[in-house]
Amino acid sequence: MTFLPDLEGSRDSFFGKLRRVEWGMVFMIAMISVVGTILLFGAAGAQWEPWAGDHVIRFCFVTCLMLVVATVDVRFWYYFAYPAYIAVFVLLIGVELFGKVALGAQRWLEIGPIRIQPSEFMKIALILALARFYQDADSDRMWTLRAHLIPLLMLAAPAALITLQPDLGTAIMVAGVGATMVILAGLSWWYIAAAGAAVASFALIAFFGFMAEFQKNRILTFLDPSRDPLGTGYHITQSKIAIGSGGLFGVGYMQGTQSQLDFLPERHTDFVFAMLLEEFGMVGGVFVLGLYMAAMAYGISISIGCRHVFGKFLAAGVTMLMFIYVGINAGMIMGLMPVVGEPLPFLSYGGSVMLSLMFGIGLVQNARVYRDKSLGSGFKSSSRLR
Amino acid sequence: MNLGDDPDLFSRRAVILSTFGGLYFAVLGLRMAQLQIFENDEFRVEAAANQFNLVINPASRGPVYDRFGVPLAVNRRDFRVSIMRDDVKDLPSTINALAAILHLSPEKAAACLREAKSAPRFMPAMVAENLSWEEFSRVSVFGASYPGVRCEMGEARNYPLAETMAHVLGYVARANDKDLLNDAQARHPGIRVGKEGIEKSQELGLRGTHGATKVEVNAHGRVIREVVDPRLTAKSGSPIVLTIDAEIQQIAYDQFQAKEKRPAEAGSAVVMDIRTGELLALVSAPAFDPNKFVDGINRADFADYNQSEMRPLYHKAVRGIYPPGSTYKMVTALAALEAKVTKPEEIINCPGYYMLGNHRFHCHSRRGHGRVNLHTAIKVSCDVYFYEMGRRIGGEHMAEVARGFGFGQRFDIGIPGVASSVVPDNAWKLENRGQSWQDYDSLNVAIGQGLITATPLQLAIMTARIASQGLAVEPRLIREGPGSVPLTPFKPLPFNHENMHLVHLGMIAVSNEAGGTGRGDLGIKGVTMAGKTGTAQVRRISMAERRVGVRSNASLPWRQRDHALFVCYAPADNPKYCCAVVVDHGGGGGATAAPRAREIMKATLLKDPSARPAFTTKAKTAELNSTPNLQQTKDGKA
Repeated sequence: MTFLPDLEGSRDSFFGKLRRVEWGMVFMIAMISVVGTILLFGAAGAQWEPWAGDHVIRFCFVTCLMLVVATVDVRFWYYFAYPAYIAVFVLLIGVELFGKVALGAQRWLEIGPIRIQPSEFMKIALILALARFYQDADSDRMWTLRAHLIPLLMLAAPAALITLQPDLGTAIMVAGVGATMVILAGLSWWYIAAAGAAVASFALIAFFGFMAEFQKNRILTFLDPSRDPLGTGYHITQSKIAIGSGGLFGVGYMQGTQSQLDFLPERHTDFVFAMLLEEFGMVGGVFVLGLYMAAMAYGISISIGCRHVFGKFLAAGVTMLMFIYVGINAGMIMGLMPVVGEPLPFLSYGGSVMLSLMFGIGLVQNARVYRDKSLGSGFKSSSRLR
Repeated sequence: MNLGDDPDLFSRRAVILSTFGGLYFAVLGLRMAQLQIFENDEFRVEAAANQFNLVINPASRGPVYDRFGVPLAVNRRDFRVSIMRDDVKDLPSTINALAAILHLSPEKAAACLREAKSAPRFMPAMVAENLSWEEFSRVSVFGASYPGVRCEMGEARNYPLAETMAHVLGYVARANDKDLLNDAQARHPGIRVGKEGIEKSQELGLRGTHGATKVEVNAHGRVIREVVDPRLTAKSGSPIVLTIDAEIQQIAYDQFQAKEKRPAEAGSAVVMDIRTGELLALVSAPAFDPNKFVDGINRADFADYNQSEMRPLYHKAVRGIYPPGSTYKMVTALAALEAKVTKPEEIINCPGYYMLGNHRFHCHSRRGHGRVNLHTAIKVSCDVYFYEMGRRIGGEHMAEVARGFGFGQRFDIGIPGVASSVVPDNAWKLENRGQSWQDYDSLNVAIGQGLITATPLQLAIMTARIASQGLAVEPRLIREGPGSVPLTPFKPLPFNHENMHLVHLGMIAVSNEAGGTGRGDLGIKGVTMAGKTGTAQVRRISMAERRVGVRSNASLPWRQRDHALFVCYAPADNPKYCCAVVVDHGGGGGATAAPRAREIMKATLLKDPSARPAFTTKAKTAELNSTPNLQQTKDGKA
């Protein structure tokens, strides 16, 4: 009885695994966090309180967590995937039944002193569960719809629950990440095109059918910000003024009148990128977007380089998650998308997004650390070996 | 999942999706370039507009003084409470709280709320003004817990003489939509605009230039710092000195007030310096209290003013159109002499009526005056004499002489709404009545009835022109400041001096000789007065009424009674001042108007304002600022 050679991984030392971590990607994310710290320091009027200090401490903490996630044996995450998904799904139902209403939407679950936002965890849990599903899938006909029925259900159920909260932004993120993984798993382009058309028509029906008033307003104001310049359109109008007045090189650190005089709403969270564009101009914006692109390029490269399906899908899913975060936020502040309250990861102040996404990056790094590990053998009897 | 079938599928699709992702980032980059490079200029302007605000500092409105420096329109300190909508958290509850502190009525509170809601950004809305010190301190203490409530001290317009100067000065009030078109800054609650009189016509000069403070504000409207810009400092409005003598004005106004057995009357009085044309009094009674309009007049008060039969809002002295009645006979007399249709010594018999065709024109004396010449005709105001003269002269020539005396002319004395009235002639009648001039028109106009009309101001000017032996005296109201015109020597009128002198003698006889219609002593030794009465008929008297006997004036409804008129000048030998008094529906000119005019003239002559040094703002400003005891002036009047 011979095990397949365990080339790297389980028997490795902790430091051996650390050496295989993709430090280039970590560096890019650290750079983004440094820029974020600088901005938050300026936003508070050259004070570490209340944001910049927290940001640094949180980043250090989530980086340690990321390294732990990266070095835990990949098989742990493999076995952990379904229970985690089920647990988070139960919490989502809990929100629906007992959730706390905040800002017109039911997002929080309060258990004693702890406030939990399960939809945030669902993003990672879904990636884990779908990765495991495709690792286990044994169909030869991955282009058929049948092969993807269960994954589609797995992404649609939580997305529907989150829509009910209602938190359309998160629901779209969850569905988007899941859909990306389905596409990567080989579903025929025809189905994808059909689904795209279906989503588009559904969006129209949803808008006129059952969207909450504030959601409709957001979309209407996105289409025409001057519709309500002091109400819903205020954010986007002020954000565009901030960005536009920045110019090529910006008005200078802590010199942004829009940011420093409170015209820019939520300048430390959702609109931090607008502050960056005002104070450091297009040059600063391109630099930070470049950092994100580099980090994502590392993610894609890890995904392609990973030998096992589980790791490939983990890395691709998390990279997609990061892309959606950046895409929605940057598009929103520049007026390309409706105002959706999603922060820019590692640049915005805020713990939960940083935590969940860094956890995800830990999984990406895990796929890098255990790149050559074969999950195919001994994991599932039915899977055919090659 | 079996990667065996197509091992490159995942990588291929990953690359495709990445390409889409890359394209989206390219779109982000292009959008950045669009906003930050191509539209940079516009957004920089918008950012600056966000950052800075102009807060208006109302300029101090120019004061108005009389010829001796008595303040007529001034600014007093005003404690007021306003709210800045941008700073208020909850508008209705803040206004309710203020209403409770200030004991405002629910209607007033609702009106405040409406105003505050419609106020533009960074423009305060007035909640209450004219507060007592006690109320003001109450708001300062309790209102401090409400953000956006501003307790401030401003200036409010005040008219110490109230009714007496109402029509000349006019008043200021909050700007209406039409005013805002001319001056958007007038939306500021501390700013008032002139609505009538001097305040309206000299608005530009009195207003000055409102200043502004450039403030840097944050998104909540909180002021971060103030930027001093010397170009934006307020410039006070220019002071105005009127030709009016407040004391004479007051005496003239009091002539129309109820006194002893005399009831209050409506009417006007104009006193003028013949040599300079300066108006010493310009009174229209009854009047309104302009102070009531400054803070917005309440409905009941306004309805009282607006519906009163005596029309207190109407400036009768310059807008009132009256038949001049017998005061016009000087014009007819002079026209007759100028046209050489009569000689002064020619005798006309007055049987009490005059026949034109088979129509009877009555004289005011039913029994007739008997034999009258020009001198007697003026003295006793014989209608028959002037009917005859009117018929001889004809309408055209009478109109020409009337125009020479200022009838039909709009005199620009620097206040709005001065009427021109009408000098009728053939062309006018054709255009307005569709008929040509007839002899009966000449008869009516010759005694100042019918188509001829005049304003009290014009009657005063006519008197001044007669008294000055034929100089084209022009009236002046503003001595100094915006709207004043330099005094130029008056042009002589093309009338014969000897003829003028004959009219003089007739007017002296009216006041001094036995049988004169306006006889009465001035009460000043060695000073005589020349005058002319007038009783202008308002309604036609029918033949039937004549047969049963003309009803006495007092038995008629007020609006149908005759107007009483009197014009005069003094001293008769060396004319200095002239005066025209019209008592609306007052009855006979000799009984009602002449005594009043005599009182006014006596006061004027005793004071002799033209002989005293007049006030000039250049010397007086400093002195006045040190003694602003306006309250005393007001009490002193009462």
